[in-house]
Amino acid sequence: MNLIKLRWWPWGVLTVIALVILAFFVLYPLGVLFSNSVRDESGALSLAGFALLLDNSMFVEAVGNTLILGVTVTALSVAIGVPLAYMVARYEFPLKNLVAILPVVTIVIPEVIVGQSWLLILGNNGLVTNFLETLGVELPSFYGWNGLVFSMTLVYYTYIYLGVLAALRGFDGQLEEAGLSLGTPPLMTKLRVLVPLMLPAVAVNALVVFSLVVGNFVLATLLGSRVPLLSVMTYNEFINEMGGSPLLQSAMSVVSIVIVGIVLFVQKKVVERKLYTMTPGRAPQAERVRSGAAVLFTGCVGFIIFLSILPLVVVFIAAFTETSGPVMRWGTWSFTNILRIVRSAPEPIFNSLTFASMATLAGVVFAVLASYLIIKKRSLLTQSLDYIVVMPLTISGTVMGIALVQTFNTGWLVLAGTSAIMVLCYAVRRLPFAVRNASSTLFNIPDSIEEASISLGVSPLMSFFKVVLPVMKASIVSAAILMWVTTIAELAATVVVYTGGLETMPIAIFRQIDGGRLGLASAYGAVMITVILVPILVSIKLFRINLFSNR
Amino acid sequence: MAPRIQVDVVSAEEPIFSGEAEFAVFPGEAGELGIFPRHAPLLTRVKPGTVRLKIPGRDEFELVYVSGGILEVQPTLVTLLADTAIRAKDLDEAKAIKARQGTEEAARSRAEKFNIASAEAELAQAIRLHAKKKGRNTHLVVFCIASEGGSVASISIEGIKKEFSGNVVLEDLSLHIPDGKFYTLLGPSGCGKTTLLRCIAGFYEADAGRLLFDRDDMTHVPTHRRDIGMVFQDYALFPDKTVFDNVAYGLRARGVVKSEIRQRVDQAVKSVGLADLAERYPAQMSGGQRQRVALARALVIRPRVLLMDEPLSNLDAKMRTQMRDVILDLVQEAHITTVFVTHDQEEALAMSDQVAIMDRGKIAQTGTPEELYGTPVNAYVADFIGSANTIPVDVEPFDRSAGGAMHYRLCGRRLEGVSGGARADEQGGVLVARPEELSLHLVEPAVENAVPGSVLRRQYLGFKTSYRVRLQDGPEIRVDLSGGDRAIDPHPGDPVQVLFPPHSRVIGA
Repeated sequence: MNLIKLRWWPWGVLTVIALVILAFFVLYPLGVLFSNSVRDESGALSLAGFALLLDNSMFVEAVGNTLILGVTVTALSVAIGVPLAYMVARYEFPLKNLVAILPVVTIVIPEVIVGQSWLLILGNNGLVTNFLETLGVELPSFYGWNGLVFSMTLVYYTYIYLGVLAALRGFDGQLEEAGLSLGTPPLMTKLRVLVPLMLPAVAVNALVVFSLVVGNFVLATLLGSRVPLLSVMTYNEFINEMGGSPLLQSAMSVVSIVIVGIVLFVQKKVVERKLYTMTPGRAPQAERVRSGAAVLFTGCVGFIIFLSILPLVVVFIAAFTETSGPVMRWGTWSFTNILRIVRSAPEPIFNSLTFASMATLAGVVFAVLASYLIIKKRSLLTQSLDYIVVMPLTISGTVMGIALVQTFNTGWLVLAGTSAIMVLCYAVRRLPFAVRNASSTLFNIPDSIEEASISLGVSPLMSFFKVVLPVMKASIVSAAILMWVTTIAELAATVVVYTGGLETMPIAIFRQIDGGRLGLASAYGAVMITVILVPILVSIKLFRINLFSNR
Repeated sequence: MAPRIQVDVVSAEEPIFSGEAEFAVFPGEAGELGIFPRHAPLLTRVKPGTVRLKIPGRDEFELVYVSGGILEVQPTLVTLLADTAIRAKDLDEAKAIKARQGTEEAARSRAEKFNIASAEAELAQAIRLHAKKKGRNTHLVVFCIASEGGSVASISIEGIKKEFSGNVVLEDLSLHIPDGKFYTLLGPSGCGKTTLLRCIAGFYEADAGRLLFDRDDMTHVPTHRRDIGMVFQDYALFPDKTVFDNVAYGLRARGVVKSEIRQRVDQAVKSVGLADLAERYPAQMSGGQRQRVALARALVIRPRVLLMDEPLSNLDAKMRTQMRDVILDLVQEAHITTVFVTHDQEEALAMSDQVAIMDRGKIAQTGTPEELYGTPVNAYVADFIGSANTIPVDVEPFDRSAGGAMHYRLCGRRLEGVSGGARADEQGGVLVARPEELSLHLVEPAVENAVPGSVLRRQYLGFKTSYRVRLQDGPEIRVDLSGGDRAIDPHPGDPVQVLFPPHSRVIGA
């Protein structure tokens, strides 16, 4: 008994607790979802749901569209992200340092804002649309494929850019020199040496983008009204079946989990294995480009950054622009929108702040514990913890929401309709990211400092608090901020789990857009971005944290 | 932390202890029992009988030492001690202990909590007996003679086994490390030396066997209650804490009062020559400086044993030699049992009182550096300590009673040697010939105890020249001639005679 106690306390016990919590809030809801997808009205096992789906031409089309969209957006993201990364890694040109803000931009600007602001610019009543109309040029409608592909590419290319940039920076320039010294001409050298080594990095990130596009709900629902897509259809089915048997929504959810699951499996098992680890050699010198090319480079990069930041600017301008109904009176300024939301409907702001705070707190505490167990206390149990913790990655927000609602709307633990389910949903969804963030820091903390503390007479548990946590401080803060930021902006799951009185800011924006009140939507958007930006700026100032080094 | 006070404890025959001691008094109703557990194992050294307790400036007190660290005291002393310094913390701890007293189970749980190890059972037994005998009318003060100030533990390893998922790393290994000695575990990587050290530290729990510090069974005592000091290969300084805070860490964990922490840390930091850098962070220091901090941190708590895991291997060559002296100075001054792990034979020879050479989870040989160099028991040791030509030879039967002298055959010649473990009744043996013991001679005139050969390669190394020589019809060997006694200087291709001195050792095959 003595020995058992020694081995299990404290980490074994904590591992079991963490596993139980995860099993209950991740595995169990997924189980419920899967089981609901293969049960008919009477509760008997049947594949009727999937049969119905296959018969439904609309559904088949939606799956097809989703895949086409995924491939298109991924291809375009690669087409923009890879050259951009290459230009930044290998060339010096004026204003190059501006690209440093790109990662911040992708995190700070929520998708809902991106969608909304491009509607303000290119939508039916958009700034540019109207302007071109006066010139007699008629733009094709932004709703549908055009808008979807355009806005999603603008959201997702940074994933490719950042991933490939990291790979390029880790590339040992001496390899290329070796190629040259062996007699292949420069271009051929790149083709034979650089390209094969970079391809896996591109593929890994491309698959991530593909899975994100498949799961995307926000832009799909804002801009894709004429294009049936899997995520939107699943959500609509969820609304349709409210109160009835959740057969079709479950079946559709399962389809999307399977698609994303396959993609991530391929990424993990096939592509990541091919990633080369290179001994960090001499990074190749960035080449300074001359006049004509410099203008071209700066122009290209500047244009991309401009498109990425534009939503931020447009939303703030729109928030302070006078509006009447759907019509924005550009150039006229007023506080009406801001005052209206603050005075008559501030609840979404409070709700967002409350839920995000709670989810961040719970998520970070759990993530720190889980990653500590996974990295520092390796065992079969912590390995399964590792697997379960990343599971939410395969589940889009909407599907996660549906699974939680289905699981916790009856039985002994009813969470549906309470704020608890919102917090739970946020925390679980963001857990993989927070764990990844904390893990990378923990991985770099040598075991010996903990052992040093223990050898000096401090118990293992206290050593964790006195030695490990202080060293992790910076990464905990950055994990918390990332969690906070993404949680504030969350819409895909919120739209499923929220109920009256629990609206968050993204929901409010979504509804205002739906109602054509773009001014009010912008006002909420401006508040939301402020709430997101402030902690980032504070933390960068206070803790001198490079928030994005771990991505 | 218990109050500390200068005392002399004297039994009829001999002084038991003199110096600062920790004590705890548990007042309350008459007859309360008290123990102060922190260093209770040490109390087993005190023999039962009457002892006197002297507190400077006070009367001398007669105490009845019961057993297992319990001293019976008059009420006046209790009052005196209580007046001197009793803190709420001690009282709380005392109450907690009292609440658990009584049953076997409680004694065990206390043993786990307070590292009383084997002394604990005795202690609990004594307390029960005492309470029964004396009723509830006596006071007990239990003394804890702190380990600090020259309490050095020997380390006994008895048949320790350790395997990692079926891979046997330590195989039924026994070793006694005498107190106060600088003891080195030497071996190539993978020989199990670090595993053994980590078993002593408690980071690994052995699968079988026992570990004792003096007479205290530490086998199942968790690391943080073993009272060890450890120096790590990568220094393991806390990166977020200053030098001062790093060194103070262990003292704070022990609840030492603030003023004393300051004084002891200052002293420790000064002793490693970093007095000016106390407010620096580890990242702002060089490797050598970090290692000094790590040393100060391990020694300032005055541990029972000091464990060092390849502490010099991350330093450059020059710093390494310099740090050897620093370590030896500090360890000698602290007079502490030190276990030092290294793969560097020069380090082992230069620093150790005793060395254990390890080979695949077993001890190959133990002894002083001189013994290991001079009389290696097998080819492995011979080659690991210094370098040696190990040449299989045929052994002539010899008479054990005639001392070690014997003859062996090498390359068809009959040579004289000394038996270093070769058996009289066996045919095969291994000649251990160190390159610096051999000498080279011209082909003419013929030399006694020599074998002809030819030079393959000559490497000039300044203070010596190293030759690679192929013995006629025999193996290649190395011969080192130092600058001074280089009577001849043959070049590749030259025929030579290699003289094997008659004291060359032949060991068992």
